[in-house]
Amino acid sequence: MQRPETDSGIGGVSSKAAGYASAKQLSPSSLTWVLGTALIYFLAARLGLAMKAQPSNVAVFWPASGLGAGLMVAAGAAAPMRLKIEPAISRRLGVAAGIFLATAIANLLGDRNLVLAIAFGLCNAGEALIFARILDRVPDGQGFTRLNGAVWFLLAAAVAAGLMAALASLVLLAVIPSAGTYLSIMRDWWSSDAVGIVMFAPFVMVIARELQEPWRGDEDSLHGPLALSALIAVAGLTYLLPSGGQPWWEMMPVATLFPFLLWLGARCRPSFATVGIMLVGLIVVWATTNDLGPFGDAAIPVSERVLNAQVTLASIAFCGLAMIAAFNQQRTVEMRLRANQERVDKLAAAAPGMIYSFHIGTDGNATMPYASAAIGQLLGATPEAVAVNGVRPFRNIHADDRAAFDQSVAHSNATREPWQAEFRYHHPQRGEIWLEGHAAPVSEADGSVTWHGFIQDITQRKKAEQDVRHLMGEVNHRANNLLTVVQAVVFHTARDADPREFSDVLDKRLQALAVSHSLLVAGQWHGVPAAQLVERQLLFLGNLFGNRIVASGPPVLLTSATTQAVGMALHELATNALKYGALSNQAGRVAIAWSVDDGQQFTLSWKEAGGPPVSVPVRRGFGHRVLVRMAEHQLDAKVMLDYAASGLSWQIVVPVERALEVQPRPASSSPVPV
Amino acid sequence: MRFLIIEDEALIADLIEEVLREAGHNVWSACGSLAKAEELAGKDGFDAVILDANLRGHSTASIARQLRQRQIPFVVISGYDRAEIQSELASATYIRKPFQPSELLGAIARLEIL
Repeated sequence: MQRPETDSGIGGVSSKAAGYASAKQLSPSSLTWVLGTALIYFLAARLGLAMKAQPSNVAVFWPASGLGAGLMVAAGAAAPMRLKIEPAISRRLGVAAGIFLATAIANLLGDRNLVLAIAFGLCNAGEALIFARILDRVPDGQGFTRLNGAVWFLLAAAVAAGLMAALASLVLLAVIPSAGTYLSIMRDWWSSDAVGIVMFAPFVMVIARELQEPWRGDEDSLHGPLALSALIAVAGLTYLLPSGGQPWWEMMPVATLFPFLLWLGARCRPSFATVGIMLVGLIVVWATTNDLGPFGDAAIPVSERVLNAQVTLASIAFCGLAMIAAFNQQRTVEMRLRANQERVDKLAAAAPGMIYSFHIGTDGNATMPYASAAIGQLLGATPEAVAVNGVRPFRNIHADDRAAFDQSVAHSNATREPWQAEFRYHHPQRGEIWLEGHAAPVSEADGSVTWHGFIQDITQRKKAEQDVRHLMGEVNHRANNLLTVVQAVVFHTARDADPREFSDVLDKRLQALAVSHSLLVAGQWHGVPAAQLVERQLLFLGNLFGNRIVASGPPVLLTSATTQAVGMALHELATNALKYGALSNQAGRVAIAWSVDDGQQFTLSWKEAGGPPVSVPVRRGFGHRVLVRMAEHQLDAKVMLDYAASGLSWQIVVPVERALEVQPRPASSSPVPV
Repeated sequence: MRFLIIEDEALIADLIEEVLREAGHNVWSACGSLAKAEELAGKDGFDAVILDANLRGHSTASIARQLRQRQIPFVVISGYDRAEIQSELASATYIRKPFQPSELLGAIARLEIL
């Protein structure tokens, strides 16, 4: 559990510094680090002592240093977030305490006194802390993910071991002056500790890191054990068997071990390679301390054989770590590339079109190095095909748009201005579609050009634009037609009407025209109900309509031509009836009726009765033109206009397809009062 | 000149007829449907045609072709812009609705020159 933070000082010491050393810091977690480190360090120290070279009693390596240093790094790396730095330091203090404890016990169990045991314990703990702090300050120094990390690792091992060796040698000579010369003690100490760190610390550091990652799967489980077994077998044969003195044998370690280290680095997790380094190191040390193989040649002084073994171990460790770093770096780059590709693919999939790069080489060859999957929907091609031939899909551009398209590309190529084009495209499956492209050209170092951009389907937009244009044209046409009809009404009214009544007559005729037009617009030019037309055109008669004027007929929708012609006819008839006919006295009546006969003909009639006696007009004016000629000409109607003395009657019979928007339903053909 | 008037709006056809008569021309016939117009356009008895570009929603391009084949001059009148009508019609002498009587007579004068 995480220790609660406190700012309370202890014994007057600064709160944080004191807090780390307080009893509160030794939480169960920290205690685990102390005891675990102490146990591991103690066993490793025993191993190092057991593998001293005889008779010089020189340690070829000191594995305890490596494990301690590795644990120190792992304890800090376990808390990458700044806010958790205190628990990380707490763990590191635990590791330091464990190293101190194990060193002191190991020395007291040997031939050292208490002073030396305490001094060496402090030196070893300091060595691990210095090593870890150096790597803390190096970018990516703890993960072997870059070559620089491997180099810094070796430097940190050399510096930490060197500082510790210099100090410990001084203490040893101060307590035991006869122990040897300062330089020889320091050199032996430094080399064995440094080799111990480079052999064992990577394993701990890498394992600690990998424990936080998911297991990669079958590849490791197959290649890891196989490569490790092969490496150990070859290392055993190389370092444990006598060399035989042949000159070519000198190259055997490099020639035989390198391929297997390469295998481990390339196909397995870094932990396998670090295990390999450890095991090869143990074999070398075993050969050296037991006078086996190339390192056991009795003709060579022990000190030189030990030095030879240490140099070999350092070389193997450096090669192994460099390989781990190189392959880690490659894996990191591959993962980033894959992540970027996935991100690009997701963005491309969400884009409303196709994202692409179009390249024209210095030889004129055109390709599409990248095209998103939408290319199938837009160009009917595949990304793989256009990666080889980027021109072929554009052969499907509509012939009428070809020249403009080619010119736009040539212009962008020549000026390096952004490319933009709209063009029709014959899609192999979808037929003709409209496409719009935008791209920005980029000049490449070799003189070639690459456009990066997108193409989208604008078929719907083009259709909408065409619809709007058509609609505007239609509105324009109808407005102009209507104005010409108005012009004709004015022309004819001026010819026929009494000049004193001209203004009033014209005004009412234009109002009648406007009523019909308003009804057509309200019905979106899809028809006007006959009853509505009758009612609206006779509205100016007030309460006469519905009393002395009765209208009836089925619910039918009149066409625009019928609406206009019948609307004007009703206005002329009503005006005439009001002035001279059935509506000019108090008793006359008008019956308006319409029907659909046999589904073939639309009949509409106006019959007056009860008015003053009717006489045939001596002159045919605008009214006659509307009632007869307009109906015949515009509706192909048969017109009956009867000036009977009992009352005027007017009837038109129009082909139903000319008169009505839709065929009337038989059930609704019975007359209904309006 | 004797004219055939092809125009679906009766009041406009009457207007054209009056303008032509007052200018001293004769009107041979007038019609408002495409079928009737195609029938009349194939007959003799007229020297020129006043042709509405659109009859009851149908283009009169077929009549324009027929008249060209018979080398009968014609004036196209329309509420559409010239760019919006079919090329057979747009290439002819064109008047846009609404028009002044002088415009119609000017167009007819150009026909006589041709």
